[in-house]
Amino acid sequence: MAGLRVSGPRSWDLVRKLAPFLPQELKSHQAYVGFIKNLEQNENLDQVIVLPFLEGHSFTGEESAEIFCHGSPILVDRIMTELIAAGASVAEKGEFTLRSFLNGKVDLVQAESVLELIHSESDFSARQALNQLRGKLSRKIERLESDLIWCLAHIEAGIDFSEADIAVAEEAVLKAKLKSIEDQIQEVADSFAGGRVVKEGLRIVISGQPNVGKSSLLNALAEEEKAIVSSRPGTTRDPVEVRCLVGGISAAVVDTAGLRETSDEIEAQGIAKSQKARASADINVFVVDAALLLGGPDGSLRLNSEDLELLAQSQNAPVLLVLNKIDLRPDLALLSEAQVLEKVKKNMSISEDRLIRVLCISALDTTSGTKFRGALEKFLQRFDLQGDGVLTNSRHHEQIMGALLSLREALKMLAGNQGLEFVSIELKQSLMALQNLLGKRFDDDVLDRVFKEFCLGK
Amino acid sequence: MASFDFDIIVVGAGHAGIEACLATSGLGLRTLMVTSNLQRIGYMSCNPSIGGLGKGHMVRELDVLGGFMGFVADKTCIQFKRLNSRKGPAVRGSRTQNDKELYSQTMQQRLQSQPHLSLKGGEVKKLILEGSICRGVVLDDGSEIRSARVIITAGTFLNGVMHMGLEQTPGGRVGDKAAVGLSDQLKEFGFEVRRLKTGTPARLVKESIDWDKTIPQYGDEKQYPFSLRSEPRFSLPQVPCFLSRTTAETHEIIRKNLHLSPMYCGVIEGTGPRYCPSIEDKIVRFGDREGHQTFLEPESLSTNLIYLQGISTSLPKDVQDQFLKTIPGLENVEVARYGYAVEYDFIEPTQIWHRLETRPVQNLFLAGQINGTSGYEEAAAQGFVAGINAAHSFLGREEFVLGRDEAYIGVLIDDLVTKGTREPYRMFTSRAEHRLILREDNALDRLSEISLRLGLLDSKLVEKLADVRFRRNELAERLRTQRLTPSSENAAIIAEMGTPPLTRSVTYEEFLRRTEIESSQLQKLGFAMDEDPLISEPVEIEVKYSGYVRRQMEIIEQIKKYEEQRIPDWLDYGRVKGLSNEEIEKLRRVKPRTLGQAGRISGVNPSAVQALMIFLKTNVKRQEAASESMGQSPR
Repeated sequence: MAGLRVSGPRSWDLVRKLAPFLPQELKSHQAYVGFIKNLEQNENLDQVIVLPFLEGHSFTGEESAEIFCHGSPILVDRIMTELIAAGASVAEKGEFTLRSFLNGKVDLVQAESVLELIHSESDFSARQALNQLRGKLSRKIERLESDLIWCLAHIEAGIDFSEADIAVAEEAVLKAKLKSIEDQIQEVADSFAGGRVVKEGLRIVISGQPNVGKSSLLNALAEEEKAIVSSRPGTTRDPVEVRCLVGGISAAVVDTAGLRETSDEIEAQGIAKSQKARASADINVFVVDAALLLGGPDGSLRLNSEDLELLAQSQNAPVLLVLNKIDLRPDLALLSEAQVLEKVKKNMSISEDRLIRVLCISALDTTSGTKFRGALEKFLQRFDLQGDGVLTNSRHHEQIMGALLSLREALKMLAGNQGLEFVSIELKQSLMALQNLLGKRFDDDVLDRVFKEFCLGK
Repeated sequence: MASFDFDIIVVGAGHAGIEACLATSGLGLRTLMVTSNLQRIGYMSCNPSIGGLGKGHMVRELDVLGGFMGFVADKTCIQFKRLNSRKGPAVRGSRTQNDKELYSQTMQQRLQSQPHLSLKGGEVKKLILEGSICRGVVLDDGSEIRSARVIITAGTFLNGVMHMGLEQTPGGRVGDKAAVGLSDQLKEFGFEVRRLKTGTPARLVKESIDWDKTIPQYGDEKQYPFSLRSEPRFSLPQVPCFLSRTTAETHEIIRKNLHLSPMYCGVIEGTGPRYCPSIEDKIVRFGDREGHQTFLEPESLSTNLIYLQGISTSLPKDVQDQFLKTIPGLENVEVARYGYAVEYDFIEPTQIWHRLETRPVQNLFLAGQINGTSGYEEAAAQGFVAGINAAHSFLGREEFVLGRDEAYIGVLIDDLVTKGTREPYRMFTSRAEHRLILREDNALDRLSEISLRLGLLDSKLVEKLADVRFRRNELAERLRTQRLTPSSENAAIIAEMGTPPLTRSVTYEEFLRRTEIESSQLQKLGFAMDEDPLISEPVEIEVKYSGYVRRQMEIIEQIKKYEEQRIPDWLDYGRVKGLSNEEIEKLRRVKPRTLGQAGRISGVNPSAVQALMIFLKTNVKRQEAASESMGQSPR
């Protein structure tokens, strides 16, 4: 199935030109089934369903009609062509949403969510965009907005009605409340890291010594031959990127050039690029040749010095240590991965929270791709990906950071016993940022709350 | 040129009317003030007090510009308080309790001695309209008086109805009849006219009160008169007000009788002020608490009437008698006049320009409660602005509009003409986004240039203004340039002040910026401080506030892009995609000057401002594209 939407004044008349089966009097939200014809009316194009929407009751807020036809791209193209011939023009990307926003059918956050929905690449971000659309983020921020207005109402009432017989919140109460708002805004802001991952995808960088099987691992994951695999060290000169889905999240898995000293200039450039790729990694998949692992006297395992050095150089991203060619080490095959992790860790000066998992694998094994994917999915639990009001948009992030900074400034002022008329400026600034985020106008909300909350007057 | 009896007619002699006719006659225009009661000029119909937060600010602004309210308030002051004196200077507000009889008398004398001004008793029934141009007024005796401009300041008198219990009496105030006819004429002309409500408490007989059961509340020792014309100390004896509270018994009686309150049985249709609810409202909305406080305020040194602040009511007389007696101190109280509510017509203020001239009718200006405001100060401020603008339009001078960043008066009028109002509009400091800049102490610095251009001040005052400004500037300059060195002699004094030692030489300004240091301490460190608080205080505040003011300006800059985006007056809002019919109608009515003003109109959503911005941008683009293609050779 494919859907086409015609929106704007006289949409119904326009569609009727191609759908003569439609009655003169159309009902909104009612499905009509019939054959769509070309303009000359001499050829049936497809049997379709037409859904008309009355002005004010459609997604865009305009009179509109949706046509559902069979899903062949060629068919869709022909119907589009006929619609254009009948007077329609092709919508710009996101134009329906823009109209919907301009007609007040969706708010700014919702509109941006729809745009993200259109652009999202994977299920997970589609779900997340849907969450925002339903206003999960909006509701969360509206709650914070309301709390902030409460604080401002108490501050302003204390200033403008200091003579009135009213109990405004004491500074300690205000401080506690503001602190809690700060924490919650911080939480929303923190979700941005996870949110970015969802929207732009995860960056997984595979690194390690030459010829340890990095490309084989990537291929296993992508289940297609993206990188040239050969047994000559240094085959991968440029980072090779494969986009795939990991646990419903779109990921860019980057295979980097083997890390080694080289005199080959082209290869050296490749290595420089690879270093850059590693710097932006969310996950560093560090591959070593299991056959080259050294045994310690206490039964521990030790990476060779070159590996250790390389690992130390790479950036702060958490590390998934892959022991490839495990088939060459039957002694390790008997151990659980947790046991291997213990044994490896002993001889490494890597911080606890960076080395998260070990994966023992044979990249040439047919199950290696599945195993690798499984390890990565477990890795993702590091990120807040619950989709619960996660910030995904940089405009949102900017506003939320603005709200946070002003709020912190206000708290600092309160701590320094500075006047509430100054604190109020920062809080209003913070409130304005939240309201911008919601696409709301900064208005008399504070005074309205003052009148609601307090008994004033002569 | 038509011939006129007067240049200007001012209808009404309340606080707005007074400032309006003093301004026009002060500019030399032949002015007639018409009022239905010549005995009640500048009458304080409600509380016997002037100023307060935001309001005191406006009184000072008015004083610098040439208004009279502040001077007469000082002259009749029987108690002075600076509200929020323990808070920062921007949110301090001066308030006086006034002898209302003396206030009215003083104003009357002031008007009678004013050159170019005539007073006349009579009720204005109608305006003389020629098409959409106002040419004068028709009185109740049928006589016509022609003038070039008319200013209406009718207060609560337009179709005023007083409510006491379920009993209704036409009138704008006890003892004065309502003005019938005028607002109907405006309605017929096409003005949107709506109803508002306000109320006033009972007046009590002083001798019947048991004062021992109340707590006296004294004024401040330190006095800051409103006016530059006033002496530094008030001349009248200063008296206390007294505090008492309602009791559970009071609430019981009121609750039992709510069905007799016109507000609660639906007789009153007008909206009352949320910040000034009746005692019925307080009890219904906020319950018993520990009683609601009330101040017993003397109305005058020469009468025995006490104003019962906090207890405005429209319950029937017998219920008022009953519940008043349950308030400590009022057990045997004798009521001189009962409280009542009054409902009146006002003109939805989005129908007037910033200059307070109406949009539909030329040469007609409105000021005060007729524009939906509440309060003597709000009225006086508008009266003054309407007076100046009526005069300026008559003289062919440019309009007089104060910015939101220049004065509370500017905030007041911009709010009214942009947003309109649903309840009687009162000023609060929180309405001013430039609150840190709009202070009482710097009203003179903000407005003296503007005032000199208006030219209402007499030469003595102009001299005083110049002198104060010169001394303030001189002091600020010396603080900025003179330096304090870390000599051993200074170090000892500085250590005594309990502030960290100097590590290098600093200017006195830098030193004064330390929170624990006050300007009076600089004397000890060899700085010649001006001891006149009129000079030293504002300069000190400016120094201490500068960091915050800068931060506020930064924030304002962010909003400014909307303020600077002009909307051409020829714009047809019907052509803008994405506006609702309601928004189109509101925008057409207000005709905002800027996108910022458009955004402040209530009922105009942010999406509409976006839509407008998009429209303006694409339109400008199209125009640019058009002019570009004209420059190219034709295709």
